[in-house]
Amino acid sequence: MKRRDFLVVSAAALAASNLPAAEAAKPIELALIGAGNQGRVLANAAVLTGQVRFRAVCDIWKYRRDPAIALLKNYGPEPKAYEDYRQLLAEEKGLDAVIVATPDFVHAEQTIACLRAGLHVYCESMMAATLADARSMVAAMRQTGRLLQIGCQRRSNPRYLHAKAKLFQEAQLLGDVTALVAQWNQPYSDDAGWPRRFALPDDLLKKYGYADMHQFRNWRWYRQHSAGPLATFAAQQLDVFHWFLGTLPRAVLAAGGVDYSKEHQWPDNGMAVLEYALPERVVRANYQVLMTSSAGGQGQFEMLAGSDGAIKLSENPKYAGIYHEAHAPDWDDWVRKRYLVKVGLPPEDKPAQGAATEAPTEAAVRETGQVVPYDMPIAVEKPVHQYHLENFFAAIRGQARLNSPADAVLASEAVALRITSAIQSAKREEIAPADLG
Amino acid sequence: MAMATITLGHEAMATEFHATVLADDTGYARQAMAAAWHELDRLECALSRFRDDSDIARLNRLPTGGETSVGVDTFHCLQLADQLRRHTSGAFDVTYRSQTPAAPDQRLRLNPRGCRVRVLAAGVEIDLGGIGKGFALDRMAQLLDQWDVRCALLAASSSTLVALDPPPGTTGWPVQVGPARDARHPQLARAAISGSGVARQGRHIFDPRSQRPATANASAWALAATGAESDAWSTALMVLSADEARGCLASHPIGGAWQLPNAEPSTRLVTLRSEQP
Repeated sequence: MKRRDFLVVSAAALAASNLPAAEAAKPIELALIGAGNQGRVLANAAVLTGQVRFRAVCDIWKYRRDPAIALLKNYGPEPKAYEDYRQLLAEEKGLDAVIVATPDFVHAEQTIACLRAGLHVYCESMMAATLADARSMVAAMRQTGRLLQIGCQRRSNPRYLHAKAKLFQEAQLLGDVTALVAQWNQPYSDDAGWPRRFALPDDLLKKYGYADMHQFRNWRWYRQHSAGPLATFAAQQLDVFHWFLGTLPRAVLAAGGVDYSKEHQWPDNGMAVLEYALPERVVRANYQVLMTSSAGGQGQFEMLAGSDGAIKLSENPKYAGIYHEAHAPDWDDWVRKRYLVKVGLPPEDKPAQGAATEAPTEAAVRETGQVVPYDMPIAVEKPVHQYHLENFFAAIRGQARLNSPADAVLASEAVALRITSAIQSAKREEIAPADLG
Repeated sequence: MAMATITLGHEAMATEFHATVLADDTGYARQAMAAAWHELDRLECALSRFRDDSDIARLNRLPTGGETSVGVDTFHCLQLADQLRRHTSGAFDVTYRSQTPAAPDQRLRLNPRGCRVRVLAAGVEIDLGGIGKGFALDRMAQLLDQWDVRCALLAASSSTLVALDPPPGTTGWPVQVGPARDARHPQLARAAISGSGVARQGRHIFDPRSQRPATANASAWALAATGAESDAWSTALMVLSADEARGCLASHPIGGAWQLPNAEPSTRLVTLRSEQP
């Protein structure tokens, strides 16, 4: 089913839902597994939907677990605290779903256990630290028939949805797609610390797979716990290209290294070139992650570029824009339809309407025509994760289909992991379709 | 190990925040401050009226009678703001921008169950600009306490300072209140101080009661237990006459209150209240 058709179907399903009103209004009974920074973001976004009741919070660190419980008890009964998710699953009956926001290396184990316990799962991205683990999650989703939404929240972002359905597919603003560019650049930050009096004891850290508190607090830099920042961001950002184009890359070249923070195990800077064979032509994606510099404050974005223009998307609207090439057919019809709004050019470049001009006495030599910026008349009016959680909750109620089910984003995870292997091999790696499923 | 001083800065809420920290282990103190800046950024996402996805922007879009849940931090900040509006007889009011004839206490209804906020009248607009920075500094100070980083002075620009413990051997962080020609020098320890004025940003403080710029005072300062309180009170003291302010302070005392009346250049600082000599 095409995305546009799906939107029509889901809207109709919402209008004519067969669910009894009481059932539709019944809160979804939830547990949170992993109450760190991202867990708190998701818990906050979930309660803002007004559709859930948190029954339990699980985290091995009381310092994180207690504030999450303190937050959530403002929105319902006080959730019960658990250190071990297995105990949570054994004791909490009547749950509908869980949110998994733990370090990546335990996603598969926890997600699969929850699915097998009959629960729907919202699992943060990346799905897993290895492709084998990610595949096992998809297999469990299929075996159990439960829902497994992966936290690729751009797929539920109204600006991304508008860009895909209206600008890219219907208006075809780009003309011919010729290149893809994406990046995640952020200023260097020291490794995270912890308040000393809340440090976890060594035996508890070891029980849960960490050598010490430093590793626990900075797990993303360790091979045992994560696929690294480069793969993590690539899994989400390259997924945007795969979602828009419906195509996966056939080859990758990459370079990167532990250049700056020598105690880390994953590259702090990395660049990749990915090759996509579209039906009409080959296009390449230029992708980079810098964990050492904002590199001029250009931030994080995913850009699809073409012969007539470019669509630059970002979760932060200040990095986003839509750009019209000077030679391309005008976009006035799309502006009238409110698909776009013109941001405007500097005044000196705007010809005055109806202005009389003198006949040129000599040919004017000018620089290439200026690219004209536009924007979408679409605002993100909720926390970005709230849209994705709302989609998850609607799917649980049978009112929508998941926007990023595990089987749909598995290939993007696989591509991201191939970037790290291409850095290791230091040569162009061909990617077979079977590698990505 | 001897204590060393570090100073760090961070931009948020359209302001430069600064921290001065004295610590034995400066590496540890930097980690604590990194966590504090993260907390500040998180709060900005919820409290800013300039972000489409913030709690405050969502509330400002609600129609009359509309109700929504907001984040716990936003709700607590609104509760505090409502309390301070009452303590200052309406001179501090986060709904001062509203275009509505509704009385200030008939604009919002706060329901702690589910952190729900209902907009009671058309044209209600919330701006936490007079309390949000102080509120955020308080949260940062709480976080530093959790880290046992106790000797610190946190600042939002130079308009609000929140002090934890003072430097060893002192009774407080020295601060100046009032113009140089007639200054006071309270010592700040486990307390906050804020200043408001028209000198830097022009006449930017409104009297919520008249919906017109406040004209009574050129500057005002408030010393209170928390940054949220001092932030809000300094705004209120800009708006209130000296007699009105004394009346409010008699019912709801704070650590210190000063006004520089907007009369002549030679006007002297008026101490409305001071717990320090």
